[in-house]
Amino acid sequence: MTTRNTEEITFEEFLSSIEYIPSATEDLVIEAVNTRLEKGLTQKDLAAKLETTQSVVSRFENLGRQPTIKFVERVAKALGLRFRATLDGEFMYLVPKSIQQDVRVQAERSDQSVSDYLSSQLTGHLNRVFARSEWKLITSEKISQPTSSISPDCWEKLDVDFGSGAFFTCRISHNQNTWQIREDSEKYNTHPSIRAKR
Amino acid sequence: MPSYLVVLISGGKSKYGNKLSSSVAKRLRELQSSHGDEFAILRKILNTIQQENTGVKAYDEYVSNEVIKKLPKACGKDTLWEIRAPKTRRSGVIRACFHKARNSERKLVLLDAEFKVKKEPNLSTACKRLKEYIRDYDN
Repeated sequence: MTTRNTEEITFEEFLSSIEYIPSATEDLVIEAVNTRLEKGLTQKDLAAKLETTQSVVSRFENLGRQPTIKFVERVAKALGLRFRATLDGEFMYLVPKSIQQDVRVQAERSDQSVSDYLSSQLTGHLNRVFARSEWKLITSEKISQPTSSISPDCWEKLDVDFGSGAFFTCRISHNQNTWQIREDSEKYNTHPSIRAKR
Repeated sequence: MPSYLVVLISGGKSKYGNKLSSSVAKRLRELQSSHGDEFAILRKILNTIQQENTGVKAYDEYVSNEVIKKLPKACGKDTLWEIRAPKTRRSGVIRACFHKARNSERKLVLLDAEFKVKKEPNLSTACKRLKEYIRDYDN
């Protein structure tokens, strides 16, 4: 029997090796403990805000009993947060702690709530990735005249310059002097030929 | 503020070819499957003390609540620490022993873990692994 050599591994690496999937409550509690400590609150302080006793907070933080959604909502509110839950966690994205403050600032600048700002950013990005409905909203006025000539009333693939350095490879229709972009258009931040050289 | 880093050594041979005792990873795996609830608490404790900004505060709070305790003279002059997950429970708790690395105080090396119900802790394996760890990694 061969004995394999060992190395120090982190606890996180160990958890990945056993494919450990934490329960939602576990992650919620970890977030609650971290936020409480970040705000410099003791369990007793949090209990006072919740109008309960320290042992209730301790039980919650030690996964002593499954908390009700109502209790989690109260904890979130006491910590100055808003609790939101979804059944399909696959589509819930957690913003890394390290950039949360920047997101908050950007949201404030754009006069939106954090969740609205994130939603619009994410939707915008995904729409660009999948070249979805966003392109349908672009009107013909925004398109400068394509360089290639196309036959009227037919769909053709062309590079269209939007004037801001962004090029679109579009399927466009020249019908009654109106240029339309179809929803299966692809967007490039730069001209495809420039992109290819990078 | 840098926080703690929790590491463990799996069994087999060390990188210097010395044979190590059975793996603490194996013990943890067994505990995870047999005592999932308590393992979740242990994971929560280890996760919170590793958080970048709040890890040290969390560690201090666990020490003051006696969730994390020093075991003086458990292994001669080397100090062992234990984590109880949860602190008390009639049905039993997970006791995880660790050592603060000599070369970095913020590195916690998990040495052993057991499920304990009303019995004296068995520290012999932890002490054996501590000696091996110091010999091979922490000198």
